[in-house]
Amino acid sequence: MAFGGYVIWVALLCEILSLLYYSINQKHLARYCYLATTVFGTVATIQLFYFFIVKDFSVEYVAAYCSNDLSLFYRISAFWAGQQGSFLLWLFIALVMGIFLFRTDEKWQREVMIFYNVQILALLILLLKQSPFKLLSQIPPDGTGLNPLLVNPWMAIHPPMMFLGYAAYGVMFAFIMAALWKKDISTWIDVSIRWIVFAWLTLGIGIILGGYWAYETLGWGGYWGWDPVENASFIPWLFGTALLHGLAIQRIYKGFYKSNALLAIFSYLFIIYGTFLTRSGILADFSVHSFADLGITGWLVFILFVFLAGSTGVFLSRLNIFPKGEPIRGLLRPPTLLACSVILLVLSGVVVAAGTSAPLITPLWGKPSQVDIPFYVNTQIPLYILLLAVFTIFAYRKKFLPFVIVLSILVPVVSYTLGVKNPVHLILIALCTSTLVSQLGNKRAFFILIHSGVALFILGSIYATGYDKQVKITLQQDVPVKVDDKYTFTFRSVAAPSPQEKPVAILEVNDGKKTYVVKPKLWFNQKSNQLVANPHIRIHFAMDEYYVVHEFRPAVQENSVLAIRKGETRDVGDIRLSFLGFKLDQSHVMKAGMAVKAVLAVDGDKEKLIMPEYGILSQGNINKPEVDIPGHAAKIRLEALNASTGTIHLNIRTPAGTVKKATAVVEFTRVPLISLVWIGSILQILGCAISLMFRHKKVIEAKVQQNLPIRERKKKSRR
Amino acid sequence: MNKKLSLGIALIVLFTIFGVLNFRKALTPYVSYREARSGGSVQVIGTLVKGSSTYVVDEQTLYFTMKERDAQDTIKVAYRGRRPVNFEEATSIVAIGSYDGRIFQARRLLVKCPSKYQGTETQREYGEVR
Repeated sequence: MAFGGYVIWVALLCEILSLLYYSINQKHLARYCYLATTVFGTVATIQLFYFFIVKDFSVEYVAAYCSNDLSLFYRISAFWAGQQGSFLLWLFIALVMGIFLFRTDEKWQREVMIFYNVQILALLILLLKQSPFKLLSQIPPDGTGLNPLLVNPWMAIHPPMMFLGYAAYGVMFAFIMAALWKKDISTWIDVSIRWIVFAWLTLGIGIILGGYWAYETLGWGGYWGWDPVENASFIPWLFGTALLHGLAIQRIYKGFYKSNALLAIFSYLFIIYGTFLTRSGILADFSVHSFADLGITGWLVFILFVFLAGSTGVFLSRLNIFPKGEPIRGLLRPPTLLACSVILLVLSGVVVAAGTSAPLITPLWGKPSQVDIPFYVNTQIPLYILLLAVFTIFAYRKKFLPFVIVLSILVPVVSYTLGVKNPVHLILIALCTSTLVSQLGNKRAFFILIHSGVALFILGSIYATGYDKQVKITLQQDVPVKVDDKYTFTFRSVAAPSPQEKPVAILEVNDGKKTYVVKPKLWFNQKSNQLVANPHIRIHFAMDEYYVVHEFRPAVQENSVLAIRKGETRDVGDIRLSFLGFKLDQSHVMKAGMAVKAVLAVDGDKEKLIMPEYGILSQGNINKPEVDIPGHAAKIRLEALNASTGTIHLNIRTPAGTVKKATAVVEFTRVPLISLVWIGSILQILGCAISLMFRHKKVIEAKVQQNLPIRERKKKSRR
Repeated sequence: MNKKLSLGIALIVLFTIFGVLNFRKALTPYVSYREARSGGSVQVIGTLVKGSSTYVVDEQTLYFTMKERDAQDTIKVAYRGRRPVNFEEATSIVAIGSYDGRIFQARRLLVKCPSKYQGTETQREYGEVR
């Protein structure tokens, strides 16, 4: 184990001390111990960064995710490419965030820190169970490298943002637990509301960054795929959203005390549950990007159980401290509408949780099954219809009614003429419009931004996922092809724009008015020996054009030379060759001569084998006979071989008449109004950020009014 | 007040029934290749038979053969989408779709890459211990 591994042990020791000192009310010692934990956690983090920067392949984790060809930027972000490193990142962010908790009101600090420290303890235990500091006994010359999908700038910011959100949800959990423990259920919001908004904001940003990443790299098909890993972060976000609405009821209308406590608890429990789902390996066969089991399943189950039992236990023991909430009166009055939002959001979260848990639930009565995407779409739609209706009614002002009615009819009608025929989609479009227009009647900027953001997001998703058009085109080099009567595609070549850059396919596209060149990336991953294609997106407000190369076949020349390693598969024109291994021909072991045959499968067919041979005859003459390739009018010869590296060099000769042009299969997708998805997300983030600043300002103003110096607490604590 | 509450509860119950019905409809069970051949929307898991994947340019379709885990059975799969990144080195492939009497038509492919599995050895051991 590397130095950092021992540092984690020391950090664990300090952490336990901090927890002990807090529980015996030795605040100062506890604080020093917490700071020591943070220092050791940081040292471990820095060391792992260092290992990545200097490419120290003696560290198992570095060897698994780093390689010599990675640039510094991606070496740094490879830190969190795997399970162990991402736990360390989570720990590091959580530790640093905890320091900011020192500024919490003295009255709350001890309990909050205790419940926060328990979470840090859990993370430390997981890190010890699967340490990123394990050393390899044999140092490989190069690492396995980063999955090509992760070689993307968004990868550098999406995971840290997620963990910022996760850690902040942990702070929220610490506050609600402290509130229950101290039997103070009415003032906990005032000290923690900024943390809750911050948690909701960062998790939201993290999710949407992940969505943009998926959209841009295509690996997971579109911006959202209802994959368990995506859902695992979406469920806590939905519960957090419900909580924020519930808190509004509690602060203004004095109700929902119990529900809010439960929502805060379960928001965090769903983060742990999501971590358990995606990191224990139980969904490994159901999700595109969940991790394999590295032997921490037992611990994850244990931690989940401890947090579930502990928090619900404390909640149940404190049932009598909850003030009796005011009844919620009126049918279309704000408190009722807020309560409806809470219920709808919770239902939405529960449905997603049920779908994601399907592989765990279904074995109870049958075969383990997964639910397909339509389940999520079908069940979310009625909830969103109701939510949008609630938004509209909430912001309703009589003087804007004509606008709302006119536009809510006009926009669906226009959409209908543009091809939106699905009645459910039309209803949603009408409601999104009414939500947007009715925001005119609202005065609070953050409220308008967030709710119109949601409406725009839903509007964008309807168009982008329901009405995208996709065609696949087979293109031969320099031969123009007409697509949908409007576009003309010409495939020119595959070339690298500069020696440092990855090769791109060069396509000329004419949309009837002008010609432009699109360059979807198309490169050969040396590590895995295969073609990797990244899309090229032409971004427009009304419609994105998405180009991706599915397949590329280089031109068939009269003579092609191919170097191929054992176990590899390569294409030469339309011939696919897989090199299975060498065969020593016994019949040739004669007269001091010998022959080695290369066993090759043609076109992926194990029955279709050819064995060109390389014979060394007794006089030192070399015999390299040509062999026919079945199914193709081509001949093949084993030119040279290197037994120690397992590499052979082949010469493939094609008759002059069958020389072929290079071919590319291109997928061309038009995604209408996806821009609204991003604009809607940005508006929500902006709205949330404004509300956060506003709350910050309000806290300072309150202190000024009470004649309290703003930094007073800090001074006191240094006494 | 009571009316509102009962209305709310009735709506939630209705929604739950709606949810359960949708849940059952959208279930795609994991089945053996033999069961997959009897039809229905299912998912199958296996490993790629080395060298079996071909992309037929004229049909714009990826064909490959999967070998069943812990069994000798194989199944031919057709997939009209893009060849997934890291397809050739996948340690396991999940195909979601249905058998059309001739070939398994995959709607979706889930591909597990070894880079995320850096502890493949550990994993195998773990599986045996269990």
